Amino acid sequence: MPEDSTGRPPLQALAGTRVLDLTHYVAGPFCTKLLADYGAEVIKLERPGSGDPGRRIGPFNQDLPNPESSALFQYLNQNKLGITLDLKQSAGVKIIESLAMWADVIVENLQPDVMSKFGLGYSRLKELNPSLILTSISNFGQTGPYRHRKATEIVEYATGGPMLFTGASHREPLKHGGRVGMYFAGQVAAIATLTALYRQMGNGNLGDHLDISIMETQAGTIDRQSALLLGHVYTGRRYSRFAGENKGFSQVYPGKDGYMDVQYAGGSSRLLALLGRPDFFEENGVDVTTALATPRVVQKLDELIAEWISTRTQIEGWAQSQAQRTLSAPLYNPAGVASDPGLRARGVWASIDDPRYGRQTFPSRHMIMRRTPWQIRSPAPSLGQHNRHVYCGLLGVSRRELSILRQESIV
Amino acid sequence: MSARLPLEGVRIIDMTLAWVGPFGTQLLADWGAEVIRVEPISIFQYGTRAIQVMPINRGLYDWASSYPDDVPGERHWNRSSLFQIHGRNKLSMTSNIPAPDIMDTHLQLVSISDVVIENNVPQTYDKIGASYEQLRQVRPDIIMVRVPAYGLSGPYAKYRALGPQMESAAGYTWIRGYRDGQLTDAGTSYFGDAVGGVTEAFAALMALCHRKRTGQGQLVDVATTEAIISYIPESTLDWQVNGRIQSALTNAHPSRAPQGCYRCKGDDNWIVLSVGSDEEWVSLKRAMGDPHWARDPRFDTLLGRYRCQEEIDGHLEEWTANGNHLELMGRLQTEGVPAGAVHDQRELYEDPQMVARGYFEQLEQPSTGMHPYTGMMWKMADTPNGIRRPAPMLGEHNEYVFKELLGLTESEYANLERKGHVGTEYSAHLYD
Repeated sequence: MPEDSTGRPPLQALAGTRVLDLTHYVAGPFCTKLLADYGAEVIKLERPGSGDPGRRIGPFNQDLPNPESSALFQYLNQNKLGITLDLKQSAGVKIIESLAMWADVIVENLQPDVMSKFGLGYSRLKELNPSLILTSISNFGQTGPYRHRKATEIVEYATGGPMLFTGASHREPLKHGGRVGMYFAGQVAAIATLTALYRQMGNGNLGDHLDISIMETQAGTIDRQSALLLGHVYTGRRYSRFAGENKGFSQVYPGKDGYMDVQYAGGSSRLLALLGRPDFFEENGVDVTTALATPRVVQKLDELIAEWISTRTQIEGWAQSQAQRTLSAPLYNPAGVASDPGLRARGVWASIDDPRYGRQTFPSRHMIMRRTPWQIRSPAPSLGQHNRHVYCGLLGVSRRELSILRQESIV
Repeated sequence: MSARLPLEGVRIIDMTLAWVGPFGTQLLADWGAEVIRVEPISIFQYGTRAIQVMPINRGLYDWASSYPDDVPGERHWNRSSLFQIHGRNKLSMTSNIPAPDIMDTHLQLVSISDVVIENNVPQTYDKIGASYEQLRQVRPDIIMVRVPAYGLSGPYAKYRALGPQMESAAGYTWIRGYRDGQLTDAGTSYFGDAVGGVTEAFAALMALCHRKRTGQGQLVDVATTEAIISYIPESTLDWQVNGRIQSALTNAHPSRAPQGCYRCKGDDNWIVLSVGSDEEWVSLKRAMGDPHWARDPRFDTLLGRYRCQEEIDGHLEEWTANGNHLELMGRLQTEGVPAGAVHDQRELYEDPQMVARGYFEQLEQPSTGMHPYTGMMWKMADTPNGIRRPAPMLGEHNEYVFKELLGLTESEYANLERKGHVGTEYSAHLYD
């Protein structure tokens, strides 16, 4: 619970931080979502007419795609203000220049060089606002021979990440689930932005241009890749997939109502106690250091675990194995995650009343900040919802001028 | 002129272990924070400096932690690949917390620090007598970031997990796999550790920004499982709004086709490509030299390709099977098709983009020699940055912390050595 009890909603961690959001799709909007969710004032700019192409990514409410029905777009853009602006027209660029003077941070994930083509490169923005932080997210970085290359999530994981090492040796390498690499890059961009913001707060006039290459975020990840890369130069070995022929790490077994994930390296004696077979290794002529390298023993152990789990529900098996300090967890499908009582009790989900679709439930906060909590303040903006608020209220454009901008399709 | 690193002047007490916690503090250390690892020597932190105190050579864990030329060598905990990566730019001191005779010294260190970060099992950490409330008494504006598997509250607060279990409980393992549901074939990923680590760093930075503005510290509870849930909204939202249970798609995309991973010439070489728009399909046909099979009008629209993905995959693999994966990446990208080789480690080191951007950094570590390391997670145009120091030897900065920072006298320091708090090796009893 927040510690201030003045009756007003508690101050959020990033309150007062002004962000101009020129991002689209997933990685960029997740970065600015993280900032908005913890209090930053984020103005999201979309192109007139079609808006963020992220509006066309599902899942859609009732499977009916329209620009306001994407639940994913809602999730990624809650707590933001939304305006429309055509950057290809010079009047649009002038407006961005005013917003650049208003902002502490601009986040963009356009193709490298596009900002410069609009006359909005970092050097120009810095002239306008010396303390500005420009955060650029791109597939391969702002420089280098691949900077204009195209990518989707799988391409980044293949070129930069441990994909070769993921999956089974007798099958093709396996990608991440969902789009998690894009979310990861978005969060790295948010961290980068906050380091610069922290410095900016201490030293008023220091901005910078941050260059986040999604490929590099994959190469540097602790998801095995960074250690594998150094391991390769240490040993000369090429590390590729081993699942399917190598047991002893984390395995999955079917239970009464779903699968369980059990880790049996590192805690074998506790696991044997849980299974009621504390002398299993001795009976089979191995000890804890040789057991998992002995296929015959691993297979028997595997059968024992499978049998134990098959007679239990996920919640039962989880609780019983944890009581023995064995590493395990239910392998939930989306419905299982949504209905787990413990996660619900922690407040993992939040609901908001949507004018179009009624009460909607979304994943909520990423952490509990005891003093400056996550808040859901507003649903994602409809296309151009805050044009008048921003143009007339913030930038001093008269309503007559705004209608001219609309007439010219700039807004 | 280059600016100061953004986190210069921030001191962080790092009590993290395994992968999640140290990854977050690595990012903070990389950008200038003084990160002091507080490391016990009366116990061995599993999977942190190495997998375990007895070196495992070329065993089951080679991929996670290996040694130069497969020789663990003396004090192997200073040499493992795992620790060399996440330990860089950090300092190391030793301290057998929670022994009562060291707690005053520990709290004294907290009193001159800004942030404390830990990711132990909550009930284990709670025993040591350094709760947020206790830390606040010595440093009122302290920031504390705790990173348990399931949070500090709720029915699962005491549950133990490594990355794979958190991924499973979050619903991530379910959507990552082969379409036929062979869960064992999907193996493990440790993506959850990466997610917990960046969320930890994000938490610390938000709290630092808030403190800068208001002077207030706070406690932040980062549950890695919950952070993973925030990365996979597509599947949980489809359940919420449509009642659909999404399942794993191998390498296919929910709304692009074809997308997949295809075998190339050689042993275990692969290329991925992803086609969405009709324009990209035309580009792919051009890259392949406009083969007859691809002129089938059923493939001209996204919906048609989506329905025929398996048939298209078969044709595509016939084409890729004769090509070099690195050359195919170039050819496909030249035509405008999102594509990439599945790089092995050597190929990534040699990749022209990584080389042009100077991503990898050569660094000399006294006991392992010169090797290339993964570089900074991002670049700052006006603030050039690189690895400032290799991962610390166990206890390498004991004198700096105890004498310089805390002002202990020689005899007080010698006393801590005698009591086994200060050292550069693990207690002998751990080898029994």
